[in-house]
Amino acid sequence: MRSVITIMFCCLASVIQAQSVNYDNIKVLQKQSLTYIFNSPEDLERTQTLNSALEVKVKVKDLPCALKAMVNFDDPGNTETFREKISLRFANSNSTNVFVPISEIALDESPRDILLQPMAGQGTQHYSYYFDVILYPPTTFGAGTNNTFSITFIMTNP
Amino acid sequence: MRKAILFTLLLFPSQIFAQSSPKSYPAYEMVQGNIQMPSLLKLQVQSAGAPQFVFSQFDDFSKPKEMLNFFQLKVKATQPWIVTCQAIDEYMTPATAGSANLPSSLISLKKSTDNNYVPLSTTPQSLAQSLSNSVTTDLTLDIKMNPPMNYRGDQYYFGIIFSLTQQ
Repeated sequence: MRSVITIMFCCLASVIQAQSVNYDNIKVLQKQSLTYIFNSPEDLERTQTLNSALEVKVKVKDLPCALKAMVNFDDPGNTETFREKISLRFANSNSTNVFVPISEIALDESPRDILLQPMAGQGTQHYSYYFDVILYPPTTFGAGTNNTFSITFIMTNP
Repeated sequence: MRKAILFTLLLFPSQIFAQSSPKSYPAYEMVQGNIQMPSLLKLQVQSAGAPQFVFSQFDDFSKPKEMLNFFQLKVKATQPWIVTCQAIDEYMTPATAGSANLPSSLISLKKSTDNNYVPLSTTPQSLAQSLSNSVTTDLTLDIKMNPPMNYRGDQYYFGIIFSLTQQ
């Protein structure tokens, strides 16, 4: 009976540990605030770039991973104005074998492939990827004065 | 003991499932940003110099003189808009001893794609408005002057104000 209880605890520990590992696989740090301001009509003609604004940290263990990204606006009415106007541009990484198919990806509300990180040996590997976040001038109007958006990074199987 | 074994077997599938979790994704993380875009309007007017109408021959007075696509307007806007035109003064200004009552309303304008001209007035007259939600719109305007009958010969000046306002 004592051994059964021991096994039970082992199993529970595995479950708890497994769940926490899964959610810690990715972390996104804002190196600078993702704020864009249109102060004058001239701003409607210029691209606004926040260099290396985001650092995406991933923990990879025994499997390759793919990184995808998407953007959503709090007010869905603003999505049309800024669809594919926000771009992620790969800046650099501490990974020596990361595969970046296209260096700059325009985002919309469906996940877009950003990069592929191949498996790199045994054990857990930590990688950081830095991205410029670019806002191109909108070509249509309809958005409100204050437009809050979210960029979601998804770490998934390739 | 039998109960204990049964309980252990029930736990094993959970353990297998749990161990597979660290090797599988997805995981996700979200960051927030903000775009502040107040109402912005910008109007650029271009032309090949100032419009000039010459009425020096008898035949010149038989019909209006028209200059097609004379003004090029570029509108930048983040809201629905309207472009108006108006005369600076009710009357044109003679260079020397011309008539003081030559009306600016002899001049009229229209969007090149429209049919009807709008005579100048000292109150704003609608010329064009947004037909889509494009931030940038290019327009061309035609300008026309009706023959100035019964006014003294001279060189006259007139001024036009183009305005872009939010609808």
